Amino acid sequence: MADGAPRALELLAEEPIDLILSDVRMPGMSGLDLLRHVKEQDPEIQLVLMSAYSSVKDAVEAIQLGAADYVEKPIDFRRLERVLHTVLEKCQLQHRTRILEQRLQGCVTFEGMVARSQQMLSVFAFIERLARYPTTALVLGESGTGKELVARALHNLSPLRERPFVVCNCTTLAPTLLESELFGHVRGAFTGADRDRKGLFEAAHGGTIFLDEIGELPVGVQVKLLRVLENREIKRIGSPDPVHIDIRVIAATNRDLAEMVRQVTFRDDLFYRLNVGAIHLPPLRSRTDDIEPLVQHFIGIFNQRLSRTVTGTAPEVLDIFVRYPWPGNVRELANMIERAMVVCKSSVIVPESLPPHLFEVRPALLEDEPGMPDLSLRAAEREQILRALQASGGKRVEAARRLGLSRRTLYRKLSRYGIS
Amino acid sequence: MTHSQAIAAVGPMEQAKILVVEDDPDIRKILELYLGGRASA
Repeated sequence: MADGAPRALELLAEEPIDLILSDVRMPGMSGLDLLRHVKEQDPEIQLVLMSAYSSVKDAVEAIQLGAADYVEKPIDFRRLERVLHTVLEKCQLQHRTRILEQRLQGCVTFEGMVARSQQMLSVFAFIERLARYPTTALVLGESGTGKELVARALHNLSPLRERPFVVCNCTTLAPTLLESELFGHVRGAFTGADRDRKGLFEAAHGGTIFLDEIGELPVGVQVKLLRVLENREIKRIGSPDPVHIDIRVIAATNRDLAEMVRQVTFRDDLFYRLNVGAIHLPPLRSRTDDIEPLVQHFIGIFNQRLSRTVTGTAPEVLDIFVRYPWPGNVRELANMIERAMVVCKSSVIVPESLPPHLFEVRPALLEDEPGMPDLSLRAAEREQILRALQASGGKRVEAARRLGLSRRTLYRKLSRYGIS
Repeated sequence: MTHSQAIAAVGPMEQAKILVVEDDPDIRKILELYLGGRASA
């Protein structure tokens, strides 16, 4: 409480204040002058002015100077309560926005990829370096880790960015069709080849060709690809004439190519040719730091796509996401967010919006006994609670009923076992 | 961290601090009673 503006300024320097409710006409310094001083010191402090001599002129000037609102005397306390509620709610929203911005600032958006983990920041740095050279690149990573995004980044950051970027998924076509698709054919090369046709290598001339799922490439086509990489020329099926091509090859696979070389299902010479610039994309479960910025990233995308205004997730949802192993990696996370945003009715994603299998997380293995499951009663109880939560679709009341526990006991156990 | 950030970080709206600036002691007293714990000392 202050009896005038000078005392108010002293108090402001002593303790944190969210909102000032100030009279306008006071001896010495007016409420409008106080407003000017406060906004100079801390623009985030909200001011609500009150005056018995209400006039449109004063109110307009107050709002122009940054006052949050203006109330008349004698004070209508119901109106004052509404005003305070609105202004403080706005403060809170601003605060939450600031936190979200700060969290987002802690992450990097790179060519459509979002990450905060050191592992991915190192990958981004390597992509930037590798993109400058026309080197063959091999992108390795589990399904859903973003291999095609990496390939596109390598192309977009390279001097070839204005040239074609051609994608070929080696699994989508039968081996004979794949060969024709890649190398093209001449008229009469095989039944149905009624005209000459360029292949994808020729279509990518001057640019980049991305060979996805290279581990699935038939051995016969592997030999031909090796020739392309060594001689920079192709032969259309049915033609003896080589065609010179100038392309950068980027290949990707979720298979262990080194193991395939040992099993003689992938040519070692092709592997060494491709492995010049290898980029390893870590699975999402090994970089849980990235989950939060990725979640915010996908919420932004799906807000636009679904015309929603979801602001984030409940803290327990992030806990569930961090524990879940994400076998489908970032693609699975994106699908999960989209599904949750379709299901949830609130402005934040809550556990009830998630599918049951996300709650089914195996207890962590004992660190000192790698490979040995924790067989303690404590671990069994934790497991049973997780099963009940899964069976109840995340609803704790229902899970407590299934477990034969009171809700309070279940909450205590959830806290003890670190289950959010 | 600014003042308002510091207090907003504490928690919900009920914990927000409000400073009343009023030269009339009667109105000041009424507002103090009305705001209760939200009023700055």
